[in-house]
Amino acid sequence: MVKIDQELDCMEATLMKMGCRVIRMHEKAMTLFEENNRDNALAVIQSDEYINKLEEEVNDQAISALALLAPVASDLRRIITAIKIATELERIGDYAKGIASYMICHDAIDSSVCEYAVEMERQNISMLENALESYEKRDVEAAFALPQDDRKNKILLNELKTKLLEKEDIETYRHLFSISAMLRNIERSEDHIINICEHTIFLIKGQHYDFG
Amino acid sequence: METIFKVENLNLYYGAKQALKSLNLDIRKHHVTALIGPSGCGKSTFLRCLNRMNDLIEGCRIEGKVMMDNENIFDRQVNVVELRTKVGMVFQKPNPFPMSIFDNIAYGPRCQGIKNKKLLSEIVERSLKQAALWDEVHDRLHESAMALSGGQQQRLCIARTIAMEPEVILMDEPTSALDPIATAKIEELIEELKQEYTIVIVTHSMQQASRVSDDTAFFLLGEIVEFNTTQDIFQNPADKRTEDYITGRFG
Repeated sequence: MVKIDQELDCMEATLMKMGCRVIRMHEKAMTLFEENNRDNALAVIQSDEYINKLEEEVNDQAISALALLAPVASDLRRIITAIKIATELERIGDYAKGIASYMICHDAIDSSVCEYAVEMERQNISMLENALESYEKRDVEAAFALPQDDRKNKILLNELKTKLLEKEDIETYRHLFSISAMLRNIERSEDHIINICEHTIFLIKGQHYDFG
Repeated sequence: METIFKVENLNLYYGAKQALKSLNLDIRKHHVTALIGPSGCGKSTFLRCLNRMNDLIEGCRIEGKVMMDNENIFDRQVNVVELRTKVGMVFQKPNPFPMSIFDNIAYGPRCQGIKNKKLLSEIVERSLKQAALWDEVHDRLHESAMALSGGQQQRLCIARTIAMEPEVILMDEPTSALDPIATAKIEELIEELKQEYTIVIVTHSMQQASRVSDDTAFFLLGEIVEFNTTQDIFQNPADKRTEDYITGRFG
């Protein structure tokens, strides 16, 4: 195995470790909707620091490879893609932290909100697992297919918004803004997962795609 | 974009051995074209075709065409001396003549019949300035060229070529015998020279090819595997053999 393969394999292993941790963060965040456990919420928030460190590690490994190994073509794309996906994962991790931060500040939330939030998080976790698998296995077909699926979370979010607006109690309206901000964490996660698919396609084909 | 050389189905044989196989490419004017590939793949052989230096090799036979100014340079009526004035060459090892710096540059113009001292001085100054050597040697033009450093000697050779007012400068691994600083100076010079000349360079350094050239041709076993803009070759090569070579995985 040539040296550059060793170095880039190591960098990608760090990236996949980061991906797994981000998935676990969101799995834990999802449990908060079912049982708002303060300790679990704090664990999610504290995990964010570790995710940030992993992002730095990926960047450092990338910079080292760039400086010392003069990568070109697919090697260069591997490095650029890793840097970009690390950024996406860091943001997705931030959104898990955002959910946990919200849950710490609020004892109870509307059951219909919980129901939708759990389902949306479940969708995101599944998408993220598939996106990372398509990256790891260099599966360009899967990377193309994932964004083409119906944006299930957008549909769920619209349904939830409609339901909330139909409610007439003051409590719901009092918390509408903060609920909306919390749900935005889930919605934005999906956008970053789509970006991971775009970066995977760039890695394999050397072409840029924008799924919007 | 204007083409200065149009290579059409070029084949070259050293005796029975075929060294170049069905080459086809267009070399763009005022661009730097790099020829890369493993040792023995035909890069220098192809380079020497462009000014018919292969004519000097016994047993060398060529089929096909290299069109320059709508004329095949291999046609019988082509004046080879004129061709080699239009298409100058710089070699791997600097080869200044054992004479003064001034006489090195003036040698070619003198051979062409230029005797006027003022004119010769102008040619020498202009050539040395274009080769980025004037500032270093203007006060010692009558000293021996052999006393110059390796990098300076190579720039002198470039100046000597420029003095003949060529259209094309061929460079066969021009920096492989030089230190990094001298190499950087030559590469900077190549960037400036392409404003006025077309440059074709053979190099074993991928980094040099990617730094200095606009177009790159990858040679393998006497064939051109891929020819494209340098950006495309080094970012997203079409052929796996090119990818394997430039990423160092060859063999």
